[in-house]
Amino acid sequence: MTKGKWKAKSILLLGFLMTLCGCGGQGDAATAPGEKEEAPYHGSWAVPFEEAVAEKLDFGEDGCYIPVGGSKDISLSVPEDGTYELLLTYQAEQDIVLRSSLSAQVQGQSCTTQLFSVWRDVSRDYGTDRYGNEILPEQTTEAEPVDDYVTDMTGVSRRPFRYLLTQGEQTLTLTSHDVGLNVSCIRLIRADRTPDYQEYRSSLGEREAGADQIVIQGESYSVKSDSSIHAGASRNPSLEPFDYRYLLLSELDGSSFADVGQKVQYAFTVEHSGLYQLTFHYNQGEKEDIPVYRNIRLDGKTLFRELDSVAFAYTGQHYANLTVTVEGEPAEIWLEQGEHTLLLEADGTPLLEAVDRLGSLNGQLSAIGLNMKKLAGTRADANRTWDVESYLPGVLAQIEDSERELWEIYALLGTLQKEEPAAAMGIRQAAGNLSRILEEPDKIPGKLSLLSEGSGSATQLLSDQIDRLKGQALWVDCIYLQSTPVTKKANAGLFARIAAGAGRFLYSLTMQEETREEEVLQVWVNRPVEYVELIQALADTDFTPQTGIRVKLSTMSSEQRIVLSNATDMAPDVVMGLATNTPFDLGMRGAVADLSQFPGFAETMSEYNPQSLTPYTLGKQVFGATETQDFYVLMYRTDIAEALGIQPPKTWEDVKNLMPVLQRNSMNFYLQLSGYAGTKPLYSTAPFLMQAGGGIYGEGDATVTGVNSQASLNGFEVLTDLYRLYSVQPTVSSFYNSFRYGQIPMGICNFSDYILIRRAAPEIAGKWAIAPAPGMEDEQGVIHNGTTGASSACAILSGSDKQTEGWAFLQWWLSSRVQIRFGNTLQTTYGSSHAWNSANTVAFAQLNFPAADREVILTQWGSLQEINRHPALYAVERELSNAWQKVVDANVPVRVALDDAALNINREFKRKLAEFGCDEFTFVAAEEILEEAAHGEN
Amino acid sequence: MAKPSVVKTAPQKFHRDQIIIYVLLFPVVLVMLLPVVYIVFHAFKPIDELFAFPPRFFTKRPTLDNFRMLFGVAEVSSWPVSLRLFNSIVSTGAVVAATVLMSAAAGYVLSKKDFKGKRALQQINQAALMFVPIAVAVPRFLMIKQLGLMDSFLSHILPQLAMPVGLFLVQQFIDQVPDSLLEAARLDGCSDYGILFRIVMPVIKPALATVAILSFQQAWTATEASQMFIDNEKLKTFAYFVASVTAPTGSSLAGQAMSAAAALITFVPVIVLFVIMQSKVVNTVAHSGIK
Amino acid sequence: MEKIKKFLNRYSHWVLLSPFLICFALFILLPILCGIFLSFTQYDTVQAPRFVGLGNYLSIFTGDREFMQHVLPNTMIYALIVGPGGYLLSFLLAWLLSQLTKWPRTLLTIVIYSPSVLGAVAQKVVWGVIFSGDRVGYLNSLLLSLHIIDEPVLWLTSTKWLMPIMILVGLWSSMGVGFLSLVSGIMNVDGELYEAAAIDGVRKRWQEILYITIPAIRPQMLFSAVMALVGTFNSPGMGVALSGSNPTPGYAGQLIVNHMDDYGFLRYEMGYAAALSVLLLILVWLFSRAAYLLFGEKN
Repeated sequence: MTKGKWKAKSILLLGFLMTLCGCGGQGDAATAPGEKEEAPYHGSWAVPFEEAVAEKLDFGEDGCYIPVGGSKDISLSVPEDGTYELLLTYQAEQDIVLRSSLSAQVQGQSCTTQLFSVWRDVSRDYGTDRYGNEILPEQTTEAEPVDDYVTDMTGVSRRPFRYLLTQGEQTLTLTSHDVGLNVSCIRLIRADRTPDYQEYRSSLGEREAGADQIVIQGESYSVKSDSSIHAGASRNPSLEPFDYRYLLLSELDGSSFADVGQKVQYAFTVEHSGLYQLTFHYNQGEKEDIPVYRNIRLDGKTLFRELDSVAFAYTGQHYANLTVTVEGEPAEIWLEQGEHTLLLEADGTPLLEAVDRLGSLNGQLSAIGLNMKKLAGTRADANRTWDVESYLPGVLAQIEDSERELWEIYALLGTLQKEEPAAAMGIRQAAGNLSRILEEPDKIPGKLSLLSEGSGSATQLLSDQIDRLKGQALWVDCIYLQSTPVTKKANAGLFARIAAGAGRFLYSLTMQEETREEEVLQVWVNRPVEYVELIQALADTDFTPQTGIRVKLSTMSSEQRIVLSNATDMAPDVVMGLATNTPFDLGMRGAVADLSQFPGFAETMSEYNPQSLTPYTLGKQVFGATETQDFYVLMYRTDIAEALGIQPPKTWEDVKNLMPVLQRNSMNFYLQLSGYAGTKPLYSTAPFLMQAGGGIYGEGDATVTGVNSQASLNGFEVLTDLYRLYSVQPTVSSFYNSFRYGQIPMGICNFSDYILIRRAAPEIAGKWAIAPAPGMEDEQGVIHNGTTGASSACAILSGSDKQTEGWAFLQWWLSSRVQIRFGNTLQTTYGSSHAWNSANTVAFAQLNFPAADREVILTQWGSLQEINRHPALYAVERELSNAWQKVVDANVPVRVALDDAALNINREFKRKLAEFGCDEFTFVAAEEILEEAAHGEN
Repeated sequence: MAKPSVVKTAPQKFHRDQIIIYVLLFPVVLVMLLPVVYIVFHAFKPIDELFAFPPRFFTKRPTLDNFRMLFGVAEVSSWPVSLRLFNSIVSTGAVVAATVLMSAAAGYVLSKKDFKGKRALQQINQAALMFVPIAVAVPRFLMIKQLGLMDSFLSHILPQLAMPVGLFLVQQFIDQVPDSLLEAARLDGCSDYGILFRIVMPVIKPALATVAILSFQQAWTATEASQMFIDNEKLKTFAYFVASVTAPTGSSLAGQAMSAAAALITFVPVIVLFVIMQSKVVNTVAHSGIK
Repeated sequence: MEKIKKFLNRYSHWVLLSPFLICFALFILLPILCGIFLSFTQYDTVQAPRFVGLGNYLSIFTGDREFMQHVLPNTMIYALIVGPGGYLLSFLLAWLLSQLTKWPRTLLTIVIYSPSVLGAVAQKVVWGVIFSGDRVGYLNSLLLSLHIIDEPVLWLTSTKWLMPIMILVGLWSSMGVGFLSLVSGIMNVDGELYEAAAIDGVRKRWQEILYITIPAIRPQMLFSAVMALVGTFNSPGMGVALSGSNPTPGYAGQLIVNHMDDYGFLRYEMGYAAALSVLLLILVWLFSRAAYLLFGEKN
């Protein structure tokens, strides 16, 4: 029998025996990760060929310091006319987690390059969770200088940027945008000095083949350029290492190694000098029929040109072995005995032409769309006809050319791996749109949804396509260095896979079920599992040693379970990640404990904005605390604002004045309300009432509503007028897209919008900013721009018998120290998209956000104005939403709509309050409660 | 001479008149069939075709990727999908077996035996045909808790066992069994239990098949237990896994792909079983009906 | 031992009946009674229930705007169209099928029956894609390419279209056990009845159907009617599943069962929800009484 079958049978047998013995792996003991290891060997990331260095400037110990936003001029002596590249050695001041950039300009040619730090795993002795699955290690950064070429970060290629320089003294201006940095060395490199393989090989002459068989594990990198690049686990017997029982971190996770410019470096030792072939055991399942690319450097050097942009073809769900070859023959690389490094850099140079052309086409089509819109006005009738040629001469020819070009680009992409690549389907679809448009040219302005508006339009398809092409995700299981071809099969046979599956199944039957231990504090968290695991790790290593209280955190998929579980004995002690209405709803019914009774309450809350407690108060009781807090700030395009000559608005009046200008240019403004198709959430309507001095509740009496008071009316009218009279766009499917493409250059964004734009819109990096949200000016000239913010909450269940322990845990969790630690770890482990918007203002000030933005957010939080909760608050949300709809869609007068709403709300208020037997209902300000609590402890 | 009847039911062979029927039925069939066929093909479409525009019904490149993705989602959790399938198969099997036995026993009694309260029980059961389980979700929850079945595998099985429809059909069918048969058995000294197992059950096989199918349909897709009564991940069923995996990712591409594959897996066993047993089912319901 | 055996034999009917009875009592009867009891209380699932007599019922009819304006009409409309509508459709299809030869009939029966067992996930997949609100939804792209509409329509979140779509889907999936019962019922009508009728002078088909077929399969008609009713009231999650939110936008797709969910879980008023469920049961019972009157035998 073949090896695979033997292996398969033995696994099955083992599984059976284990089942029989009933001694399945206990695995309920999590193991801690290993101690912090010494920094492993890692060489420079970029080492040029000596003879190619035209000039080298050393700045000695102190280096040349460039402050944030500042520039430095440096003098370069260029020996002769020619093309040059720049190699910088620098070290940034703070841990670079979000994208930081530096501009290098000389002789009028400027290039913005991305800055990196050196990151590595704290320890490769991975810890395990309670099932025995390996968990990701913590990350740490080395305060070391980095060698890197200046490359264009806005493009998809990472070949060094080429400057065309003339002989003589030239000034190099370095400008840093986001962080301060220290440049210790600048090298001017002559371009085109990399030999091709033939040259390289012949320069070596006759050499012996290497005797070693070196295997480098993909997940065992020594250092990397991004903290978020991490190892991955997969239950695939094709991987090495593999255990059918547990999830082992056995490959380099491609989803985290997908951005152009990211680098991962491996270290290995060669015992016997010789010629070696390089083979990768990898998987590329992201870009169908189009390869991803990597620049490969050995010891920092690109040995020969063919090691640039090595193509990793699409493999679907399988793995493949790729040997670096030149014209069909495996490339032989000479390695001396000793330590070496292998660097992989994500690159997309072969796609550069396609991406650039698509980008410019997209811009053209977008511009055509804007022009068409001006022609037809904002709500064009699809049956009207226009003589587009006379208004915009040549536009039809432009569209035709665009279509043709799209097909060319499509064919171009087809030459990379396979014709008609599925990953480039968007291009075909866009071309199809264009040809449909051309069928009825005089109706184009009415059919902009095909061209440039909304999902399914040509521009949207193309921008998605560009994003897709840019991605370079590659999963690396292991790397082989040997002089003979690799014989190990790339994919485990069918038998092996079935056996592994069967083994796992049998094993899972014997796995211990989760037992509830009496002494352990049970915490349920309504967040994704990776967050929960992180909190568990933090609790195990920080909270439990300090307090001796053991904690067990589990995910909770639906909050309904809390309610129902109250009726059983399976209720938890503490719950986190709750929706902000839950603590109040439960507290009013006695299911949640009053936090203000616990010692240290005022102290813990001193790090938070007192308003953040408002949603959880009932009289003097406080039923929860805010964990994460959203913010609503004004986000605007600085370039467009400049072009149009407008200032970011400070009041809603300003916004109204801006609208005509925006409209003239076929642009618009975004309000949070426009992002919702169904019921408009309370946070998008209520603030308008409050900013005008009105509110949800009657003055001092919450048994009736105040939505139809004069002040509330004024406020609501401001909102509806914006839509009704000033044509603010009522539905926006994606602010992110509209902001990027300049269709909606300003608007009120929330936290997730902010993170998305920050992370996934590099082409407008530096072209946008945030400012406090606009508000309403009162008679004294004070601008009220308060908004709500609470995003998620935590609470202690009143049925718990471990309330003191629960409070100790919450105190620990809510403290700034832990919040900072958690926020940072979250980001370094999972990437910049996992930002943590802690409600703890002290912590937030230290979390990783760009300094200027942080200021704005904290300022906005200063005007935080939460809404007290009422058992019938849901009625307010629904009624305000309906009222908005009536006024904007059906032109009902504001007073009538709000009076109707008030009627319904009051009825509901009465009903609910009667349910609880409350004749009166008033609120105590959160600040007051805190004061009392503070006094109570003294 | 009698004029041949205008209408023939159950004709033996093809007749011209039938063409009209086919024509009338065609659009109906299309409407009925298309979504079903769609799901079948959808499950095998590669990802980029799932949302292809203009949309295509059939796929040129059928692939098992969606299924792999569906099972792959569970790859990174601690519990394999095979376990969930196992739970589903075991619980469904138990439900079907128990329901068939219980319905047969109760049906036999309600049909052939005479005793006080028989009429009342029959009425109650008929009334219970209209029972809507969703209406009493919380009381059922409390019941499970009282019985101490929370977080146990039995909570998948026990609540599903009483199926008024099943009892009703079986009872009606047994009504057709000639009393003489039973008399003969009794004279031979057979106890009620013997009669039930040796005489009645073999005869009412079509009815039992029907009950089996109906309870299979119900049990295979049931998520009530996994959602409401069970916390322990190890015990949850495949149907619940499918619902939880596909719900949040509803509109994303990957979510659609997995939903399609999951829908197919849930749907196929039911239909296959039905096809196999359909003649028996039709036979059963032929004798059903409320007088 | 002998004594036990004797006992078992004497009360064999109870013994045989008991498994079913016990499960029935525990999981159907008692919950219903419990529900009825809860309907007279105010219960927020956290604190103990509080007796309020008929308060809930009064609120439903006098105080619940959404109920009177949307939920009740919606439910009635839905029930009246999908119920009798689906029923009529079942009957027609069953009759048409009975005119065919065996194999096509079997095949078509399976085809027509399948949608009813498709399950919620499958339904969501299919209908979600067809009615998806953006350009790529099948219906939208079809209409767009035929130039019937110019902009994609938000089918599933629009107050105008949600109900019709729900009705459509309801009808589509209503050919269940009742349908099968009709098919076989019609198949088994005694041929002699038709011959006798022919002798009596019946000429037209519709006369045959009305005077012979229907009376002959009365029991199946009743069974099928009851099944159709149950199915109608039982497939309510659809509105919420299709539109993705509870309550559905503008309460357009709100049926009694969604309303129950809303009150029970979103507003913490279990007692009120229980009252609604009792109302539902009464409604179903009323409808079935109507069915009995129509089809039951007049003894």
